[in-house]
Amino acid sequence: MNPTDIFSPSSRRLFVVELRKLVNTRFGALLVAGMLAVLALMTVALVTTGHEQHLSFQNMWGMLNLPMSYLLPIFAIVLVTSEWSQRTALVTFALEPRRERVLGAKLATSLVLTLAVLLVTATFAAIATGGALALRSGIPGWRLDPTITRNLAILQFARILEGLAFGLVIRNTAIALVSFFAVPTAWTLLSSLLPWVGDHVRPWIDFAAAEQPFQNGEAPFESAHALTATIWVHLAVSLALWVGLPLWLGALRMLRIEVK
Amino acid sequence: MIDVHDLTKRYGSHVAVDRVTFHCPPATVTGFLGANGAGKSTVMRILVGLAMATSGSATIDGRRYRDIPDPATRIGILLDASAQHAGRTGREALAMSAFQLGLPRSRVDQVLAAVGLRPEESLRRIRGYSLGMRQRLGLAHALLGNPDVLILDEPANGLDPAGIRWMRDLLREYAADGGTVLLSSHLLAEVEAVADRFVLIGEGRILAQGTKDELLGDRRTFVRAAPQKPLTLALDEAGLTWTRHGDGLLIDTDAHRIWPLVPNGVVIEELRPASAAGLEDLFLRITAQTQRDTQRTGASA
Repeated sequence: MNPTDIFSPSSRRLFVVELRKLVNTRFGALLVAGMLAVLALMTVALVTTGHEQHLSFQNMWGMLNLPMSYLLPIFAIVLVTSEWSQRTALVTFALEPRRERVLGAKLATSLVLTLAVLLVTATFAAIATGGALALRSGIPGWRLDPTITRNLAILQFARILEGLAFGLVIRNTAIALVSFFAVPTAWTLLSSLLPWVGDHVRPWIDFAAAEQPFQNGEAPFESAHALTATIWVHLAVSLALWVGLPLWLGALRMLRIEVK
Repeated sequence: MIDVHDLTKRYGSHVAVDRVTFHCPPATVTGFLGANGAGKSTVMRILVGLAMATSGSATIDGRRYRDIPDPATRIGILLDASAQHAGRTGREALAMSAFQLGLPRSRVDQVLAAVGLRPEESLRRIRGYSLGMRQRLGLAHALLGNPDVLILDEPANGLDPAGIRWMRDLLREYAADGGTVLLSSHLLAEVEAVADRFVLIGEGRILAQGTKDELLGDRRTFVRAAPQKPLTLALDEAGLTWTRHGDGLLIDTDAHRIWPLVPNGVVIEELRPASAAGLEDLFLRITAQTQRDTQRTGASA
């Protein structure tokens, strides 16, 4: 593929089509509505009942992103698996037989969606901060930490790429969704049975565990400890294992597989 | 112009398509006939780049489908009407493809009207569509880019008799305007009514192909006459060959050459082309050795 093709009108239209596929099914519409409902409820809850010291913009932005880190990958999983489960691949690849372009459009769509979610959660966090400043006293208010923001972005981009990779490899919507959420649980279970594995192996190959420091759900959100080199390496290794490898294998298969 | 040349597709040791060669000229409807599993769909999938050939070539206007930019504006495809997202509306499925092809929104209404889907039907989710409605939507999809080649796999499946008649008229009109149609089916009578040319395939191999006249090249005439003797004498005198067939004669010529030879006093009780049974008989005869239901459907046909 010619590099300039990436920005050709047909590639741009393909990207918009993939973006549209996220929301023009009943499932997609419900997922978006669910996301917005969760954000609205959380915003109200934070402003009215949140502990004063938690009510900074940065902290609330992080908290609003926690449920999103579970909902966001679902979009990426379904974006890929619905082509097979709903058999639309037949139409998709008939319209654009250069499958690498379709894959590229799905990747771009996932990344743009993540950016959009970060912006939407920031908007809700801003509303929450404004509301809290008006209604509550003794709160931290508009505080923004570049490092925590960066970690937040890394977390969400990693999550959606994991979803995309799961979808590409598993290709069946139900099985992909279940395994995506079951794998971290399986690790937790294994770790409690074999503590040595939990302590020494898991951080390297369990993406959920590797992401924990970036997520840092412990309140207050802002007190994230400094990320050590080990934590970065854990993340890199688990992402290579759970994102890099399946993305590569899944993409190769998607480019070659016979569509029935 | 669809050109399939020496096409072979193997799955492991199984040969699904075996050195298939045929072509579909413009302004014709080509009927692609074969039993289930004969290899029709595999050939069509290879033709549109959804499967890869093991060897040989399948091109449209001299190019592989994958090498044609925005192929849907040249080639309309309907391979499986149920391959649509159940949670999307019919209109949205079309609008999305129209956008991708850079077509105006009005094109969606045009193709919906062309296939007889009402606006309120188009706003329903495909989950609730009957198979006939899905076929219409699939055909609308194929027609969207205003292509000059149509490749349709079993498009008449699930259509009611009125729908089948409608589909036939639409395809005839399309070919009359210079379009190329490749249409697979096992509904033989239906294909016979619409196609100009036929390609018969069985166990991955071409069994026969050509126009209806070429395939049903039996020009003999069946005659029942009383008394028979004066007629056979007249036939011998005219140098025509004949054989007895049941209580009548099979004569090796057209009906219009027999009439002037009938002697006075001979009553013609029956006179018809010997091949009246047509394509279905031919199909069953030719596929007799490959068809799995030979015993039941009767190889004698």
